[in-house]
Amino acid sequence: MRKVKSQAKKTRETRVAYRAKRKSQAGVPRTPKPRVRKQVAAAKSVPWEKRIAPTEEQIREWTDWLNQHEPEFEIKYPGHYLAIWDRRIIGASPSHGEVYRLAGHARPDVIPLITYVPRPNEIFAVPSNFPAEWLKKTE
Amino acid sequence: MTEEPNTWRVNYMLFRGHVSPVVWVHLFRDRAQAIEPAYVDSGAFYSIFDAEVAGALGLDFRRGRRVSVVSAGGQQVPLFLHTVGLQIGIFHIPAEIGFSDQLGIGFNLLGRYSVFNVLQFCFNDRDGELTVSRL
Repeated sequence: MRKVKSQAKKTRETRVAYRAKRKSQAGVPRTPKPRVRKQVAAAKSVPWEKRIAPTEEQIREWTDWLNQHEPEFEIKYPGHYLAIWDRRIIGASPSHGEVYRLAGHARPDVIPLITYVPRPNEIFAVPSNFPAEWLKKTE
Repeated sequence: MTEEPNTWRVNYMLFRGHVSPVVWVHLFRDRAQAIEPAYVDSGAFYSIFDAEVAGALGLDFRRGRRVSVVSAGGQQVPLFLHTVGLQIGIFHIPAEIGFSDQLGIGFNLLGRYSVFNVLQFCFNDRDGELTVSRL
């Protein structure tokens, strides 16, 4: 069996050299390194005319998929807006504006369906509205 | 020459365990587009969409025509009307719709003003089907 040459001496020398270097720098005041924030990659902007919108058939299919998973989403994403593309959630946020940004980041080349998942305590009621002037006339 | 179909049928969507007359509405402004669900509300005078939808279309919603509406609870909500393109199923129409950041119901409404005078909506709650026809 061939003997492997020990690296111990070399390692010791390296350590000694390192310590000597540290010792020589001991009196030198440390200059703080400037903090560089990692740039978050900006979403690629795809021109509107190049973005793909779902077809009528796709919307029907994805709506069926949404309907099937609605109880699951009500548990996972209460009070969230979801961006849907091709039966997948490509963005979820409690903020309506944020979900557009997330979707634009995940799939800048498409126009996703945006939907809202209500919270359990939200009452299912639709506030029909009428112009305020009508109210004034009856007063 | 083929005649354009005049009727479009769509199933109600499930919303909080209730099948409801909710349709996907494509909103257009210039080349920008957004696709949002809207509850077809024949009792609502104005169509109201969340202000964030206006943002997605590149609109400053506060620059629209300001009107005030009263909801069923008596609460007054300011709306800002803008004319945008709407696609509902196979139908493309221009419509003046309201944007608000104070509606607070989490979904959009498709009301009568400038929509129901162009399209007719027939509700079939038994079969959970909405029929839309061009007038």
